[in-house]
Amino acid sequence: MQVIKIEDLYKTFKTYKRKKGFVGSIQTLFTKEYITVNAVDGVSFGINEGEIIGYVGPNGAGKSTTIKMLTGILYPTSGVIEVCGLIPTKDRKRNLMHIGVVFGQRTQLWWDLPLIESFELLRHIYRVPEKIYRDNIALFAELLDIDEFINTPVRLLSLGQRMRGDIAASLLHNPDILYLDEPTIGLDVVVKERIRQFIKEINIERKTTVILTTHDLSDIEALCNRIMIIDHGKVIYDGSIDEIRRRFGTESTLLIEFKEPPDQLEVDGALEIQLEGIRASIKFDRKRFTASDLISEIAGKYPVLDLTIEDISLDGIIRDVYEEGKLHESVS
Amino acid sequence: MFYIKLFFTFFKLNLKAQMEYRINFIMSIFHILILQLGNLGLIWVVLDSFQALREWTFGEIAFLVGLRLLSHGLFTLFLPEIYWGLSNYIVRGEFDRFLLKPVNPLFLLITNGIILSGITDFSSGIVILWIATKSLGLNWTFINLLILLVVVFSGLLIELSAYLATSSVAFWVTNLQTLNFITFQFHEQYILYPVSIYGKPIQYFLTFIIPFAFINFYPSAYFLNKPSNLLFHPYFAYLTPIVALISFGVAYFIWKRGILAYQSTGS
Ligand SMILES: Nc1ncnc2c1ncn2[C@@H]1O[C@H](COP(=O)(O)OP(=O)(O)OP(=O)(O)O)[C@@H](O)[C@H]1O
Ligand SMILES: [Mg+2]
Repeated sequence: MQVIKIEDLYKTFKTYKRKKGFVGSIQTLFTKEYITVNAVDGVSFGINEGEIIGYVGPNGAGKSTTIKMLTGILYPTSGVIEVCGLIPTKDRKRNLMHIGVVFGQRTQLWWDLPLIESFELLRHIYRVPEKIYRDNIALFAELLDIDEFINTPVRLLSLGQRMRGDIAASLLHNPDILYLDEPTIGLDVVVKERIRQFIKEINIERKTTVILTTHDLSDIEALCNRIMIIDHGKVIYDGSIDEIRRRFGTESTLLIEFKEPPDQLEVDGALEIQLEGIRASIKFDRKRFTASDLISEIAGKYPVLDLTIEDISLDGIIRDVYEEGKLHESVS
Repeated sequence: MFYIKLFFTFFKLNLKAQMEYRINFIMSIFHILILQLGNLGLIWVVLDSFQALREWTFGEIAFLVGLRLLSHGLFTLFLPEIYWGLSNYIVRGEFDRFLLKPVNPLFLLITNGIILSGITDFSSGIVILWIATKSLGLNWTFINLLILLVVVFSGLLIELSAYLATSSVAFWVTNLQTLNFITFQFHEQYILYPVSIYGKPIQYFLTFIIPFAFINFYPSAYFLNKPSNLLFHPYFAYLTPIVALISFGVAYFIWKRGILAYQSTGS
């Protein structure tokens, strides 16, 4: 079942040249000088129930802007957004009842209140039944260890604690859809891993649909079955991670250790060779040569001690995709 | 019902959070009490030397001051976010959070914080009103107390509306704290004295543009039975609640349009 539908979505920001001081701000009120930024520039996609989507792209690509429109903070300049059949800005409250939102950059908890009291307030606001509330708090205590700091005022929490608090808060009312905008920013590996496990668990147990933006592609590899890459407000890739690997990630590296350092290394079909003493790294394109071709060629000429094959990392692939996007742009 | 219950839940928690700064609170009690009584003393001095004020007695001016403090005390206690918070939240993009909960965003904003020293303003208001009562020999009937209650709440609504409207300007342009501050000056200084002593432009301004005169000046004509001091029309003595509702309507409209225009921030 499709839970999110976006068609031809545009968001243009008008930034007025804001002038300083009182007189300046009065002037801005009446001048029409502004710059426009097409933050989201004709985006269309559909998302099915229970998917975990990785929404990635370079800084300023338009990820947060898309999420702000999905949550009803921003009005689209044009286009259609439907979330479970609702229009987020028009049916704001009803839409919010069945979504959860985390903006990693900025907490939505009450700054001066202990975490538990923020949860209490949310229980009232979302009218969460007592039993569900208690079960959820117990679950979050178990999976996120929030009970360690639940009585601390939010302003005193560390970044990792606060993030766990924010994620727990976003799920108190059992939302159908969870938007996570950089939920792992600035976190250590342990907390990161814990949050990933948690998201996975919630997704499996509750069929919660998750949209995740992040600059840490290991988040995406750990969680997502589908990835959308956006750049300059346009979706430039939408598909599975396997597919993107097949299409862009055909470059592999062969790492070889020789018995004795060869004077010179020549391999047919290598894209790039680096030789340092007894170690060499050889880049090749898997579409044109198989690893075993290459290995038998090398082993025939030089005495090999050890070898490993490294696939290009997802980071590398995405970087290639971004650059290709730039290429297209400069051509067009 | 839902909102009333929620309001008190918020209030209780805010109170608890504020109690952490208890020393601050106790200091502010003395500070404000002294400030307000000082203000009153100043009026006493000014009263005699100021030709235009001759028609007004000390008790009558004290009444104006006290009435303003009652509604202003409630404003400071319950609604400080409108004045101190809103425009900053908008400019910094922190306003996002008020749009992310399934309740009215104005409600969320209001319940986001309280300032305890409002209680001191309110109490000084009562003390000063009591001084006025003694000085004028006023007789508080039950009906008049009821009307006082309505007037105080209307005054609260007028003040809320004024700052809601001026703070909402930040939805369109850069932070206009200055605008808030100017509005505040009118509220803090100008209506300490009978509006009739000012020139026509200011009278118009305080009656029709930002109707602060309805907080204390016009209703006092009713309580003090002083129709001779009315401006524009004698019925204005009774119009405070209606003016309050209209002001709120206008301010709420501006606020709503502001939310439509809200752009958040890039980071
Ligand atoms: N409130 C705003 N006013 C003006 N321009 C904005 C505003 N919000 C975003 N932008 C611009 O729109 C573009 C997209 O911003 P957005 O925040 O959506 O990027 P992002 O993909 O989330 O980037 P990041 O990875 O850095 O968070 C940027 O060029 C940004 O400068
Ligand atoms: Mg972002």
